[in-house]
Amino acid sequence: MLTSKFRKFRLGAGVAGIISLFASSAIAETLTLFDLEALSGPGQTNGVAQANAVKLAVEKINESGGLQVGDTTYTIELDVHDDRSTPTAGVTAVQKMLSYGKPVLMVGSLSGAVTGAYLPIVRDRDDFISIVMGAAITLTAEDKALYHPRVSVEQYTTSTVTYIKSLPDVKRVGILTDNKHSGFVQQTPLLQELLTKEGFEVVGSEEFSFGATQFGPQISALVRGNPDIINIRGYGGDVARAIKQARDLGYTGQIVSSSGIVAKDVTDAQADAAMTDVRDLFVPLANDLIEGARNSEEAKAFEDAYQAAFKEPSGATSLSAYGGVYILARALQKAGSVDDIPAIRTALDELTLDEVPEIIEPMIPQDGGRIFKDHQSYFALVVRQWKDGRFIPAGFVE
Amino acid sequence: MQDLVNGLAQGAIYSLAGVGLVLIFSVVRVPNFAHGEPVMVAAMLPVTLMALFNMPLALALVLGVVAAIALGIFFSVAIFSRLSKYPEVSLLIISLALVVMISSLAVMFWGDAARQTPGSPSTVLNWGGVRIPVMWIIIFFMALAATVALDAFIRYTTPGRAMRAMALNPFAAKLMGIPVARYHALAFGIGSGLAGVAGALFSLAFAVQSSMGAAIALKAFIVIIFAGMGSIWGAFAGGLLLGLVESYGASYLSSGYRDTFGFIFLLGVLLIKPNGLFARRANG
Amino acid sequence: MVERFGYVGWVLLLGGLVGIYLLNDGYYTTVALLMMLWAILAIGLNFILGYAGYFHLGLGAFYGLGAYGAAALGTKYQMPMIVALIVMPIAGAILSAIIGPLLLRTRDLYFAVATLALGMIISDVTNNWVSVTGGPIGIGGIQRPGVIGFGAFSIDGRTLPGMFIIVSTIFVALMIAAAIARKSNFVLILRGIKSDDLMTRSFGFPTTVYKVAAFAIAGAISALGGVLYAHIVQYISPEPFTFFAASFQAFVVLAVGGLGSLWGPVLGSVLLTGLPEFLDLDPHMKLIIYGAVLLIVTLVLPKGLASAAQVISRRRKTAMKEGTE
Repeated sequence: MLTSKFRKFRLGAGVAGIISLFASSAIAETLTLFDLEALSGPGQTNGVAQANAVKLAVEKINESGGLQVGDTTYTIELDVHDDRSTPTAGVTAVQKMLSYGKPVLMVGSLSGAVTGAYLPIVRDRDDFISIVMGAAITLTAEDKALYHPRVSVEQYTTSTVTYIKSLPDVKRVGILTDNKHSGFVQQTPLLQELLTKEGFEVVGSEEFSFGATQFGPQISALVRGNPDIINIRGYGGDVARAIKQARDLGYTGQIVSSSGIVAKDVTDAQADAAMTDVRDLFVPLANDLIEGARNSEEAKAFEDAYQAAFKEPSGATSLSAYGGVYILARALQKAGSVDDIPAIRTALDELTLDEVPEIIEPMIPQDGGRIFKDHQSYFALVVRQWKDGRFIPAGFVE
Repeated sequence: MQDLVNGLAQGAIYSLAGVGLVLIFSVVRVPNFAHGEPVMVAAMLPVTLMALFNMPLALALVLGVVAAIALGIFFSVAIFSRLSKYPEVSLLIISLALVVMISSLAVMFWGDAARQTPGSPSTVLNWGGVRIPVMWIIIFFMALAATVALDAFIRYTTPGRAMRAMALNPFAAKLMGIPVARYHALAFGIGSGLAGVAGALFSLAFAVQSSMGAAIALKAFIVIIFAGMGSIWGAFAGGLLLGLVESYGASYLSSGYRDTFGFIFLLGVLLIKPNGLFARRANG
Repeated sequence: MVERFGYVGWVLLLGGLVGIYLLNDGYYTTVALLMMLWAILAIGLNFILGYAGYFHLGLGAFYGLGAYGAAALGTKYQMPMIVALIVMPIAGAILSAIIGPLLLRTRDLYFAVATLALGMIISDVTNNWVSVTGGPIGIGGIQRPGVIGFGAFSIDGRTLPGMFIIVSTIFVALMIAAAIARKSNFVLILRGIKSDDLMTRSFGFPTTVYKVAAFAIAGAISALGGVLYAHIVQYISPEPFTFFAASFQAFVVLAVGGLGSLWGPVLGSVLLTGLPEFLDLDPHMKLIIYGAVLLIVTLVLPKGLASAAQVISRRRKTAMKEGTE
């Protein structure tokens, strides 16, 4: 008697279990979103901040009940791969994603070299989409698998020339470039050409390696040409150190950089006193939007959520990463599918800015309000200056 | 002229790291590729101590150097003194494994952003258009003082003589009753302490980061190689020379090839004098 | 015992390669390709480091030479892969033969640092000579070979499995050549140089010639590895050929596998390439474990993984009778 009752109970429990299993699978399917990030190696400082923003966006989507595509609601599961800031590890990770035999939706990619390395593998594939959130790359018409909702490095070049042109009494320009940064290195000839065309004299073009600590030789070489302005192109930390040492070595002229330098970079470099007459021309960071009253509420909400989750300010590509995840999510909804890659690509091509209200950066809409033009997005840049221990916008370049 | 100052400041750091390494290498014959890790620890720790315990700068710097010495003694006592029978290749691999482990731990703890220790004198002397940060002068004279002290220690003290005996012939030194294990640890301790001083000074003048150790160790090896191993003053001069070659090459020829100038110089020296610039004996 | 291990080794190697081919999984194929690549570099390094005892820390220079040469031949001059496979190893050998006599005047740590310098210089050149190497932008669009062979026996080199067959074939051929070379008088004399250069010279062998030859073989095989890299990844940039990414890694693979052994390069490469792939941990934790494995393997097996069989059998013998070394 007792045993039969017990058996019945077990049976009942089993049936209930099976039913609940079915029920849960009907409600929430999981959608795997791959994320290729530079979590170790030289790119890690920016890579981690980018990966965090991706995580934040995905958590937000899941918390709001998941992503509804067609009749199904998906919980997004993030599968993060570390590319170790090296091309081979990146290629291996992408091969791993492809090896599951399902269409791959990928976000991330910080380094241009890593992106360049996986590009040949995915170029002709119809089961792969990558939303590239960092990586100063130049896409060609063949690169159908990649979308770049991130400022193009050429925009920095043209905006820098425009900015320098607007300054009075500037004749001689010195250039200092991070020679490991593929985007800036690629742009150096164009920058020189444009400056020369506008009647400036390029008095020196020097280089440093990413992570350099000693800028003495470069500075002293540039100063010999007696420049009115020095244009520094690289990452924030390096730029802060270069500025500090330029001032130490007696350069008092103007400096314009393109680096997304943040307050922590200045503090880390002890460069507080060196920041007069320094401007940074960059795609706006969350703080710039808050200070510059552009999309400031969204930017503040983002920055607060980011700092609550990760206990530090967001990084140079964090906003692009956050927006990038939503761009992909809205494109899936628009296409009504999570695995029909050609349809999703069409959706991405046709996606308009209005359809992705979560984009926080000041993106410039392309034809028909679209996000992408030939897979590339464009942004208003901000001119930032250091004041009272923080960067504030001095103006925007549309 | 500015390039001379730039080169000497950078070179003094190479000198300090090189002088420490030359002591370790000649006394205990360990190709200690992990020599950059004490540099890193002494460079990174002070800021953390200052932030956590509100410690004054000087004390934090001293504790950083103490940590570097402790790390060196740990290398000796826990690892390398137990491996005297292992071939050189194994010792090299083990020291590389230490580099990987310690720098990864440091990155987990500190992150990898480069930073400068605050609070150093920020005065910059202007000497006929040549700018000399006071901190650079301190670095240079600290390096010089450390080298003088180490040289005197090796020459005139009993432990110093014992170490020289070990450098000449470790087996005979042991037979003569020299407590080899103790001096093994002492050599590592002093060498790593000098590395620590280099790190602490470096962090006051330039930026330092968790993953810097390997690159510094590489430079220190280059310094002791082209100076000729076994010479403390050789390592000092070698460090300065490397700094100057890099500085002038980068400033007047091409800044992209900065490291290359040092390496070409090194190759040139080795081709003319295969045992290094200041080598005294034909073969170590 | 050792002979039988050798036999088992070949069966395992071929079985593993066939198994991975049949599995037809892009990820495992890629990992296997990288393992073969590292093993190839270690095989090359074995000649100069393992046999002759010279610490060559500049392998990346020749690895990079092969890769950039292959990229230039392929993208600038539209040459097929086979041309690069022939030309670049020869170029690597010639370059080694020119600079070898100079570098080999030094020994021990001096030679190590001299070769390290060579590698660093080449890295700087690949990064800074933008007009030729593309600098940090790199060179993309390296074409793999098309269909090779006829009918049922043809392989499509453009696909990953096709590439796998090409690399496997080259790798197995290289392993056979290495096995034969290992028993040759040439390697015997190199080993003689390692234990006593002067003595070997006094027996009438021109040791410098032998050393330069070993150096050139290492250079040629590394360049071959570079050609394969360029065609596997189809994109090259300076980073994979830098000291820590290439020369150092090849050195670790060989030393962990076993200097002077035939299977050491394979074992070292399988362990060290495989380890980071199959550990699913925080990236820095992964590196710490990688370091710990290096440390432990070196402490337990100072002669490398390939010596494991001998160590075990020797332990057994010493357990039986109070043995002496």
